[in-house]
Amino acid sequence: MRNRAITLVAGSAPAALSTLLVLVISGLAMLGSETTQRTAAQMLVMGVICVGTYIFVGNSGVLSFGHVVFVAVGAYSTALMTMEPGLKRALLPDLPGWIVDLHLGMAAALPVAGLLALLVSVLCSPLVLRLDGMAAGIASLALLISVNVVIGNWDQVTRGSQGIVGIPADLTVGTALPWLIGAIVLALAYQVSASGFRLRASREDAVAAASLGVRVGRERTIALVISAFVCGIGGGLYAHFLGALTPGDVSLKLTLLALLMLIVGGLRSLSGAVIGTIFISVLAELLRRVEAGGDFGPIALAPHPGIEQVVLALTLLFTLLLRPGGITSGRELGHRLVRRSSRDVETARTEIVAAPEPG
Amino acid sequence: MTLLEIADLHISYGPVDAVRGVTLDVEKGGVVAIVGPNGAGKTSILSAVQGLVRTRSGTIRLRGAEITDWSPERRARAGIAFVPESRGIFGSLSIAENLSLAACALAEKATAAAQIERSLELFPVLADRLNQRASVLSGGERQQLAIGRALVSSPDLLVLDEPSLGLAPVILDGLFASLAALRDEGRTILVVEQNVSRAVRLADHVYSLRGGLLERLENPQDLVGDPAFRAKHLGME
Repeated sequence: MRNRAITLVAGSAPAALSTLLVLVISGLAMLGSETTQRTAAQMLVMGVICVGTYIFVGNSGVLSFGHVVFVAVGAYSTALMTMEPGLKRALLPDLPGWIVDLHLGMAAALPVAGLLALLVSVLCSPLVLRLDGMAAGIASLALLISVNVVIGNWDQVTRGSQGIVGIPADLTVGTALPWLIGAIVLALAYQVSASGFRLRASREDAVAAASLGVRVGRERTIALVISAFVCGIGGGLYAHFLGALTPGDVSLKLTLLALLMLIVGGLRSLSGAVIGTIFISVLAELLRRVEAGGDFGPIALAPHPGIEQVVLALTLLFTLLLRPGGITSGRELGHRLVRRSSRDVETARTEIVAAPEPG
Repeated sequence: MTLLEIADLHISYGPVDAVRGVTLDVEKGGVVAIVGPNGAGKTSILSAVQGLVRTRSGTIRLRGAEITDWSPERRARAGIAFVPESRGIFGSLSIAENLSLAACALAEKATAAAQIERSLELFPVLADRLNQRASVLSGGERQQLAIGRALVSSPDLLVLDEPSLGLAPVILDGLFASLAALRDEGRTILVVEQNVSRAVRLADHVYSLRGGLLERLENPQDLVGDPAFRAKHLGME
């Protein structure tokens, strides 16, 4: 019993340490200027999107450029649920009456947005889950482009390329933080579940896993819908961070930013998703300041237009070349603790079939 | 009772006919070995039994039920355990996790625990290293883990593809002793093997596969040392 408790505590270490890291960074940001706090809020939003994407990509090993589709669904649906009805009526006169009259707070709208993204993922799953490797990546990119075109032309609901304005831009570090912690806890809970365990095995060798009776397609679908739910919530937070939405906000640019964060942090661990988000957010903010130029204490910098994009691209390049596993090399924070807790062979023997439920 | 029936099986890869009209029965509790040179189509037959390749024509039946179009995971859950030539070990998982993963094909957890204990008895080297990552295992240990893991689901049919591949003779002695123990306890085994003398000692029936055509060998133990046989059936001078 004691061993089991130790294993449980050790197993939750990645979530606990990731949360602690996020809390420390957020706490420091709250002591800073308004700009710093806004950067931190954006970091938390990206954290939710990255953790959501990680749940599928990290556990299944199937690359997806399409997860911003779920972010888009979450962003637009949250916007339509939380905007003032009068403003909706004025901006979107052809919107069905019941949507115009719907007026929820952000906290109530986000789970609904997550569920809508989940529904979309169920519809998409037969298309994406039949494919592997590069084919899956290309198919998910095609899906993203298709959905972006629909958003850009669905004037009655999204106001097309003009976009939606007047979304309550009320997101702060304090209101975003609980959602990221929730996403981290959900991601870890899935990762250590029997389904997550089976999916992570199939990531290594899908044929061998199937030969052991693992239903790879089913496990991928479970990861996809959980992942879409979290990305949908991330999209809702994103809408409340921006205060206005255009199709360009939920396009390939956001996909590449999320993948950059995941790859730099380490695509194969939850801690990697969190660390990559923090690292790239801080780096991007520093580069934005360098880009704008100005006086930094005794140092006066001339503006360096474009330096943010160049350095971020180089960061990705050097990560792939020098440390393909990212900062974390695919390990979780606290992995030594996990190893130490399970070093006893007898403990492993008694718990050997306790982890996976029969599938 | 016939456990596995393969009837008039044809497998093609583009214009190449890898398997041409193979018919083969495996009786419950029996051990059937297929020998043959590289490229004869041995692995293709086993892959078809596990559902990993598409067949051009022919049928495969398990306990009388046609399984030709079943997915690999459905076949695994129906009682076929496949140990591929590559072993299919999950290197990032521990030995314990590799073993417990196979329990997902079982409805009863208690059965899985008992089967894992049985596998650890059969391959004691695994028992002392349960928490180690499987990636650190040697070739022989990987093969033991692959077979031990296949046994966890308590399969009706154990399908082994080249179990001796890349293993030193001293390791092979232990491995084939374990396979003989499985045979003696009544397990049904279909094995593809290039090491003819070991395959002949293990199996009840031995077949030779050449150019996708299967031929049953009568009195194979008399043929093992025969140079003419080796040249004809194994492509060895």
